[in-house]
Amino acid sequence: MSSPLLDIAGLSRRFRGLVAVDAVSFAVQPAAIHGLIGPNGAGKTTCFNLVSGLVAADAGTITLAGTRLEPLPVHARTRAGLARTFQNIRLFAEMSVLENTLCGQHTRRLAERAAKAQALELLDLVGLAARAGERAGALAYGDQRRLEIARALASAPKLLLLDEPAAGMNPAESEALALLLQQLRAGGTTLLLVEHDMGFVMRLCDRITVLNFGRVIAEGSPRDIRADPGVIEAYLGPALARRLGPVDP
Amino acid sequence: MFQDFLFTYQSLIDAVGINGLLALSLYVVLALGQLSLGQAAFMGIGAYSSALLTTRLQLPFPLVLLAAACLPALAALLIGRPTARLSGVYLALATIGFGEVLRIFYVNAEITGGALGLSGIPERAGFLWIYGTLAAASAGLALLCRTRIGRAMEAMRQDELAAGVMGIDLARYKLAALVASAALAGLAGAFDAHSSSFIAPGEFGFDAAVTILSFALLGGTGSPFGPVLGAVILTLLPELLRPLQDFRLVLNGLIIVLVVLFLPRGLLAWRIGRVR
Repeated sequence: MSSPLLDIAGLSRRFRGLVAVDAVSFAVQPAAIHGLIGPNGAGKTTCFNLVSGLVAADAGTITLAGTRLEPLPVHARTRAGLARTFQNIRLFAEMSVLENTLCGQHTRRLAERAAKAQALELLDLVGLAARAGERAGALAYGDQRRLEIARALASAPKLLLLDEPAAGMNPAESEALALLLQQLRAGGTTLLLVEHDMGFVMRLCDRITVLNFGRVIAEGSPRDIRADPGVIEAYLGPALARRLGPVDP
Repeated sequence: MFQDFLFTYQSLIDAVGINGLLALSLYVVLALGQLSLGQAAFMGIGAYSSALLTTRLQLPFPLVLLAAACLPALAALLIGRPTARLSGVYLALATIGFGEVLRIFYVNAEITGGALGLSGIPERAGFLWIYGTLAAASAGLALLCRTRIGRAMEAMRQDELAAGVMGIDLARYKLAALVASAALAGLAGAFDAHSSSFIAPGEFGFDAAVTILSFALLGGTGSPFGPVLGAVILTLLPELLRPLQDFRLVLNGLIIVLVVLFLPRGLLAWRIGRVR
């Protein structure tokens, strides 16, 4: 196995009495789509916040491509190659679609002309090129999610954290999103995603880590995870596990 | 003809330009979502230091102006470091405190002429100096809006957390904005001292800070032109409504309340064009 792009070891965070993330360790391989799943309150978003620096870790290490992230402030982690989207979309609502994408390029200090050309390319990739001049806040929900992905990609990240990218999307939109994410993986971007749509996760992910009450309860390929009795017990439930398809021989 | 007009209304015309510059100085901070009530204090540093440099050391005016921009900027750097992590109302409170400390210093210090202030300052800041600076500063800020830095500032104003995740160094931007804003306010102070030829501590207190805020609120902060428009209106209004002179502050307060209620984006809600 090649050395992982993201290596999380013994990561912990306590909010008063609640241990939100409890000695979590896992590694994300380069150019992979890695899923982080688990019931609500399992600590998935806290994990994202710890990696992106919005929440400080109590213990543990986070290493991205050889760089230790935990001593770095939020903006320096972006410079180190990290980008993320938010579960509750956080676009710059008053700015245009194109300007949002340009903001994402902040760390790259491109010349204005090159910046605009690259931003338009990214908008084209996510299917929003025709809306470049519109106010971001006026976009439909699914378009806002895609714009957030384009804005995150604009920093040319090594690792992109996606917090429920398919939430609120209709089947056609989530199908298009799956294609986009596969395209990104093929282009060498590594993705770590939190998602509740199990069909989406199982189809897309190369590897899955399951959290429950802040701890890792399972890790493996989608096939292993669907068959894991602990995961079925804590999260999937027997009915969904059956619907996700029999464990291939 | 123009010369006559200029002569008759000189002090009013100067005041409009100086207040416009003060409004712009506050805009620099508001543009990234911070609130400073220290503009009057920065102005005071510029006014007193420039007056002293002119009257005591007889320095040439351009050099005096340089000092009047740099000294408040230095003060902003000093108070900006510890307050960089503050935002919203907390920064406002810290800057009010800073202003009051300075005002009490001006009232009590001998070098600043105590409560009587300083008088007999030569009138060196004419129309060209004041309006040249105002034009240059507004043009510079308007051009900045469509650059990487201007976008970063607007991103901070709209969603500071997301802006940080974009890789924008929030603390550095806040400090830089406060320093630039202090330098502009300091220049306005120097122009004030060198056009009215008299300064006193009362001009640089909390009232003045709130008046400067009312310029920006009335005009709107979507572009640098909004605050300048607000300053023009609120400086001319008391002259047009001379009978109401005594109620000037009441009127200012009323205007702030009405604008916040009915025009939350100010008179000039226009935002420097979206990049398409």
